[in-house]
Order: sequence, then structure tokens, then C-alpha cells
Amino acid sequence: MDLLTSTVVGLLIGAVIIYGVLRIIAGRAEPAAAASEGPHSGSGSGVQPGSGAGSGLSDESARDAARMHAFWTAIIAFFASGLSAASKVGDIPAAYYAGNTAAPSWLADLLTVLVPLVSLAGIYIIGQYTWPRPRGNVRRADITLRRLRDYIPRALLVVMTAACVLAVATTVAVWDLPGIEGFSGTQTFDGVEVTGEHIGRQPGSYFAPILLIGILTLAAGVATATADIVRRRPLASLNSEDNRILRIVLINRLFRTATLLFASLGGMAVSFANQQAPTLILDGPAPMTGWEPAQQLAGWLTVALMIAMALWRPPLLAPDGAPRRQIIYRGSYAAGQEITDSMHTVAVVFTVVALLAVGGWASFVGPPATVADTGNPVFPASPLLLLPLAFAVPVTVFVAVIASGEVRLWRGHTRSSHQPASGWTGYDRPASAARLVPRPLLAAAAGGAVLLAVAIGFNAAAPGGQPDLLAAFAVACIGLLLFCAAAVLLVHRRPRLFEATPEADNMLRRASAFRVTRITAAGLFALTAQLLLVHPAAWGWVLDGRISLYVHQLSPGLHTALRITTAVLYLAAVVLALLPSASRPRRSVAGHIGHPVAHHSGDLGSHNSDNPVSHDSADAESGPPGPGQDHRLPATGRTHEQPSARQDRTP
Amino acid sequence: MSTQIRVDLAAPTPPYEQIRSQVASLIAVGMLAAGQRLPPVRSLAADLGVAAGTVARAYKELEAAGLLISRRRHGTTVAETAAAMRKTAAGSAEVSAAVVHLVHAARTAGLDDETVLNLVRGQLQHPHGTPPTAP
Repeated sequence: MDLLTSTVVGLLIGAVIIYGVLRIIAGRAEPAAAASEGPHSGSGSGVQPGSGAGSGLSDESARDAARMHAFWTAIIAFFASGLSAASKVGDIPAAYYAGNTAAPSWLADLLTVLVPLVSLAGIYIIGQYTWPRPRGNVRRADITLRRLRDYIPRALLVVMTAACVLAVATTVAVWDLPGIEGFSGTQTFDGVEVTGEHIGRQPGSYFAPILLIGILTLAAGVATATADIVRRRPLASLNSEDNRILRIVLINRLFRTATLLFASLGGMAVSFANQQAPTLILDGPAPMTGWEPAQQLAGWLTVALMIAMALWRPPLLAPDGAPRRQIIYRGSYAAGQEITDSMHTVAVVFTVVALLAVGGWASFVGPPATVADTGNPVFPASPLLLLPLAFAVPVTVFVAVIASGEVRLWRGHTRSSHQPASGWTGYDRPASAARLVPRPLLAAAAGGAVLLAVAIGFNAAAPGGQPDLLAAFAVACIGLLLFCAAAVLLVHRRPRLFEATPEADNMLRRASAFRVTRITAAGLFALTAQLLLVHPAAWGWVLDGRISLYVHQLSPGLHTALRITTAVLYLAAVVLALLPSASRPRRSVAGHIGHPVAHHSGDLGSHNSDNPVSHDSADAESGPPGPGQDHRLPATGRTHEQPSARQDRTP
Repeated sequence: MSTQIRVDLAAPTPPYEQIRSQVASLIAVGMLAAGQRLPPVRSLAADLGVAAGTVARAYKELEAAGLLISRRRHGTTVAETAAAMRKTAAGSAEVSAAVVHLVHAARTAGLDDETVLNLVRGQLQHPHGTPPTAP
């Protein structure tokens, strides 16, 4: 049996076993209620379990089975798609040069890469065909079309696509690399005989097509599996909402695993390019391949992606007793809260990823260590411009994501007619830009900017200053302040959500403005601490009366003070970044509040024309109502119960 | 009101006819708007657990009645003419209200779906319906 046949047979046997396992798990989701339903069962209103397309309760054991099925599908696919065996693809083993083994086969290397990637998509696809077929005489289905875009998590799709594009770009970049000849036994370098062995490397034109086929196969497999997940028939024993969540859960897990695989494939290409040629190193550093920075970046990006993917949890397929998702109306406070909160989560994940990636890069990228006369390696400073970027980029990413959430609200949940051309008046007036942010936080941000400006000024005045470094910090400071101001202005200028009261709308504005200012203030403090740490010349000159280019040249007292000051500034940055915002209604009650009432303009506008609810009172009254309480905001005395005529609202 | 359809394999009415009549009703009451795409034949057949030919026949009859349009690139969509027919015929608020009232009264009286449908069919067999009886 040749290699191709044995691989295909192996895959088929594996597929049968996996089908059997998943079929047993899915068998518990058999729609018992549907099977026993009589031919003339009355209403068909969807309140009974087994409706599949209905909105009633799901069968509890079926939901458990669905949860287990989704879990095991993801786990099996995750472990089956491991690329550890593929890490040797492109290498020529030293044993080949010793004549102990044949040269690697291109087909064998291709299959080594393809099998895990095909397995990932294949297992998800197999999983969709293991659900029980509809039984019983009564069948139900929803006549509306299930579209891919209704189930795909867009942010995750963007991350996965970015990983895929990076992997393709890296693969194309290594295409023209020459091969490396290894050896086994005795080899002569510059007239010196060396005995040992060194693996060789195939040329890029051998390796890159394998990787490119792998990436394209993975992309096609993910697309096919996603389409299958959306297309598969609804489970009769789950209601429509649980069926929807189940599809989203599976797609989320598929995308997360695929993202890691794309990153691994890109990492393989970088490792391939970074392979050293055998050489004799008698003195000095090893020769450079030129791919060392890319190798470092790829490593950090992979770690960051692994953390991000671990945190990117899918929605919960919750039991009926658990809090359920409510119907969320477009333009409502609940819709606004869902968008701002989800964008905040995305912003946090992206910021952590950016912090690890750029920070890691800034810490490690640079020329290699040199050996000083003392024999100790000397590690040079990181490239100057990367230092402020380590904090400026993550803060910018955070602010940009929060701002994009506001743009989403503006485009999808507001009406331009709510913003009169002549400006805001009366009841509809949003809180002023300055009042959107609590004054202490505003003061902290201003304080951070002043501190950084002073630090830059001292350094500029001191002899031995590094103008490029200071300019980079100054640009980062000004850029962050401008970006923050633009984001707060965007939050302020956004028209009111058309289904939310001004009080509720202002709560959302305050949350976004608070988050933007908080992270900017944290970024400014972190930049100041960083400047203090990497450029102590000014402090030595100002406080110690002498020029000290390095921290260890400062007097011990000043050295300690500098360390403490730096630590305090970093701590302040962390505290500011984690500062909790003002309390707002929980999601569980968000659907019940914030809707405008029918008569809400004249008397209330004159009652408090600037802002119907002050910031303090809004914060104090924003807690969820208890059982039996009506949903009132006492400052206005207006009820926020859902209006009765809501049939025309888009859920 | 949802866009859910229900097929009873044990009912004397053929499944394709059940699908056809329910889709036609959903169009008539405006639950399926003009231009709205319907699921592909295979997809709906899989969801219902019936043969693809069953759904295909229902779609074909709806297409022949001018309610649906099947185009290669756009799939099966609700025809514009179907919306016009709904506005001029069954779409009046009065008829819709009467149907809602009928369903509510039937539920209150404990009648099952088939009995209600038989009553309606019986009324429809008279050219002008049965005049209401005096109290």
C-alpha cells in the first residue's frame, strides 16, 4: 500500500471512529417529545419541546447532549489538528548525509502538513452529520433563510483572516530562499576539520508550496465546515434560540482553532527561514540569518494569540433556569449596552495582544549581543522608536476599538433626525463632552500628560539626551491625547439611540468616554515611567549634579528613588487601566429600561434643560430594580417599562 | 407570529400541499415579504426531514401561482406580485383581524387545528360564505 492510499485509509478509519463517538453523544439529543407528538396536536405554537424551529423550551437532556457534542467535537478536532509532526517539514535529516535514510519525499511532507488541517475541518463536518434525523409524524422548520453572516463572529473572523494573510505573506517571502547543505561525519570549515552532524534545509521552492497548499486547504476547510454548521438541520429537541447558540458555539471554536493553526503555519515558515547554515564559530557571535526579529515577533504573536483565543469564549448554551438572552430592540439601551460591552471585551483582548506583541518586540528586537573585552555579553538597547510604541500602540488599539463601537451605534442604532442641524436643545441634549468623563479621571489624564511633558523637557535640557527617543515619546504623548480627544468627541457627537431615553443614552456615552480616558491616562503614566527608566540622564543631571547615562551610574539614594518613582508610576498606570467605571444596570434588566416614553419632551426639558439626570444621580439610580419594583428613575419619575405598542420594532 | 411551517406526515393532506399552503399563507399575511429569500429546496427538505422532491414540488406550484420566483443566482424569492396580491386580497386589516379572532376563539373552545381548518374549508366551499345566523 503506497503512502497516499494508506493515508486516505487511515483518515477514513479515523472518520468512522469519530463519527461513532459523536453519534453516541448526539443520540441523547433524540427528540422524544417530537416522536410522541400526535398527528393533530393542537396549537403548534412552539411551546412544547421538540419544536426545533420554535421558541419554546428546549429539552434539558437534549441541551446537555448538544453541549457535550459541541465540546467533544472541538476537543477531538483540536488535538487531531496538532502540527507538531509537521515541524520537521523542510528539514533534511543528518542521517540522510550519513547515507542511513532516503531523502525526504515531497508528497510525504505535504501529507504531514495536510492531514492535521484536513482533520480539523473534517471532524467539524462529520459532527454535523451525527445529529439524529427528525422522527415522528409532525415536523417543523423555519422558512427563513439561515445566512452565514448571522452566525459568524465578525471580530474573530477578522483575527483569523489576519492570521491567514500573515501566514500567506510569510510563506511567499520564504519561497526564494536557497537550501542549506547539512553534513554528517567530518567536515572542513576554513581549513579546520570538524566532526559532528548538522541538518540541512530544502530550498524555499520545495517548502513554500507545501505550506501554501496547507494554508489554502485550511481556509477552504474552515469555509466548508462553517457553511455546514449553518446549513445543518435544527435539532428538533432544542428551541430556535438554542439551535442558534449551538451553531455560534461551534463556529467560535472552529475559528479559534483555525486561527492558531494559521499562526503555527506562519511560524513554521519563519522558523524555516531562520535556520542556520553550518559554520564554525571560533570567536564572536553566530552569523545572522536576518530573520531573527521575525522569529521573535512570530513567537510573541503566537503566545498572544493563544492567550486571546483561550479568552475568546463562545456564548453559553444555558439551561432554561439560567438567565436567558432577552429580545434586544434596535436602538435600545440594551442594544447599546451589548455593543459597547462586547466592543470593550474585544478592545481588552486586542490591547493585551498588542501589548504582548509590540512590547515583546520592543524588548527583544535589536542587533545581537556583542562580546566586550571583559568576556561578558553586552545587550544593546532596543531600537529607540519601539520603546514608546510598546504602550502607545496598545492604547491606540483600545481607543480605536471603543470608537468603532460608537460608530456601530451611530450607523445602526441612531437616526440622523435626532441630531438637529442647529444643535442640541432641551431634553434630547447629550451630556457635554467635559461632563462625560469624571473630573478626577480627567485630572489624572491631564496629570499624566504634564508629567510626561516635564520628563521630556528635563531630558531635552540635560546634556547627553537622545533627541530621537525624546521626539518619539513626545509624538506618542501628543498622538494619544489627540486620539483620546477625538474619541470622546465622537462619543459626544453621536446622535441619541432612537429607542433609549437621554439618561440611558448618556450612561452609554459616559461608559465609552470613561474607558477611553482611563486607558489614555494609564498609557501616559506608563510612558512616563518608561522614559524615566530608559533615560535617566536628566535625573542624574538635575538631582545628582552630574551626567549619568545609565541607571547604575546614579548615586545609590537617587537610584533607589528612581526605582521607586518608576514603580509608582507603573502602578498608577495599572490602577488607572483597571479602574472600574460607574455602575450601570445589569444586562439582565437592560432590556427593560432606557426606552423613551410617549410624552417626554416639554415639561422635562424645562425641568432640567441641560441634563435631565445629573451624573451622580444617574450613577446612584442605575442599579437594577428588585423583584416587584417598577423600573423607575426617581430623578425624573418616568417609567421605563416597555411601551405596549412594540410590534413594529426590530428584534 | 413566526415563519415556522409544520408538516404532519400522518395527515391526509400530502406534505407538499401542506408546505405550499403554509408558505402561501405566510405570504398572504405578510410574514414573508416581497423579495425575501426562502431556504434552498435541499435545506428545507433536510430541516423537515422530507424528500427534496416534496419541497421542490411545493415551490414549483407556488412559482406557478406567481407567489415565488426561482432564479439561478438569487435562489427562490417571494415574488413582487405576491405582495401586490396580498395588499388587494387577503391583506386587509379586517381579514387579518378576523383570522386572529377565529384562532383565538378556536383555542378558547379547545378545537384542534384540523377541526378549525375543516370549518374554514366548509365556509369557503360556499361562494359567498354562510350568512351569520341571528342571535
